[in-house]
Amino acid sequence: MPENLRDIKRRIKSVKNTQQITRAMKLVSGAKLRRAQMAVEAARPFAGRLRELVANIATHAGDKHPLLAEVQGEQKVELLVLCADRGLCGSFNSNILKGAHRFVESRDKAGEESHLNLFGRKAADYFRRREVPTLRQRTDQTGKIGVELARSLADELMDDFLQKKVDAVHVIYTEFRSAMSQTVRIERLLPIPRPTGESEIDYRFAPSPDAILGELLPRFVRNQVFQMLLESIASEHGARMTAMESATRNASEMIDHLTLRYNRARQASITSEILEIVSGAEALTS
Amino acid sequence: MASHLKLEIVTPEQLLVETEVEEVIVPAYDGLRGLLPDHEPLVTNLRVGLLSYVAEGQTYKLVVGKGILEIHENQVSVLVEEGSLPESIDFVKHKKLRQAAIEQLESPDDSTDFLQAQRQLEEAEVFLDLSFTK
Repeated sequence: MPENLRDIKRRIKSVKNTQQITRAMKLVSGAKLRRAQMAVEAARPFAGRLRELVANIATHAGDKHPLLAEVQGEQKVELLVLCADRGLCGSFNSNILKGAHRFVESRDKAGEESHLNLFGRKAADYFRRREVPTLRQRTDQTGKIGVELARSLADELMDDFLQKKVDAVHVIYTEFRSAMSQTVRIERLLPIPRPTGESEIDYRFAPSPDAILGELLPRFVRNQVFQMLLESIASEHGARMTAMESATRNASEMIDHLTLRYNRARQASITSEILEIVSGAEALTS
Repeated sequence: MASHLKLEIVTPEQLLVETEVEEVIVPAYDGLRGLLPDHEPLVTNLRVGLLSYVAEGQTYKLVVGKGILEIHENQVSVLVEEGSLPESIDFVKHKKLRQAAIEQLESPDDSTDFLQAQRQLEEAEVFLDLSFTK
């Protein structure tokens, strides 16, 4: 069947345009990923030290600090959802959102309240469309991820927890492993999970252990949030890079395919033209 | 008897210093505190101020934000909110922070957190003062 040459040509052109865009996006997220990855790695020593310190000290100070206190049952839970502002990053957003939605539904079934604290426009859109009420939301802030943002988020969560608005705070975020592999995780942020094991170090505390914990624990929570934000942003760029890479590859395949069809169609029309000419000439000579 | 301390200074964003030192002087919450090798295990809060350490006979100085210090078995971990060399302090940033705090304190509105503003003012001033030390 002779196809319309112009149509095929037009399609090739449009796929090429799309490919140009996906290729550019891939390069951009590649660069952003590198930066985000460096930030994640640079932040690890602090987080690690802080965790050790909390583990070492918490055993000395007893259970007195409210951020450490274990609650009986989680009747009201707050869930912080770390998501992206923009799409085109594969299943990054949908994985998180599905996980968050499941979390809310399972809590609902158990007769427990859950409050959503959303980070990222995609999350806000998703739950608005499904008419799930949200406690708070922040959109268009993924560009401003830093210590300051983490602090304000964490302070909000700690306020809710300390004023007994909620019994526990969980976070759902994407853990960054590599550009190709990211895992969705749900972790309990508050109350701070009790560190296991006894510390053998006999510290002297200046001032008292409780005063130290009072400074240390909020800092620990802020840092946890900071770390999760960094992981999430690195994952987003990683997911986007991978998605754009396969989009670019698919576009290439499509172009090859269309070009083949284009050539075939062109050849067919040439052949039929020649046939016409030859038979025309034969008709004249005979 | 050990002759060195292993010093690590970290901020949330990065590992600032990791080195062997002979002596560290830190701005503890109740005043400057000197740490020498074989110090007893200690945990203390730090305030904004000047931290100095001696490595191979040379003295180095660093301005640090609030944080916490832990030492045991000659391992010193300093966890601070920020830290920079006195000569590379972000003068403009701290000037702005100071100005913002002053404005908050002078014309407070409903959202003003006095303690926070006061603290911000003090911290910015320490940084500004120290940016001129050599």
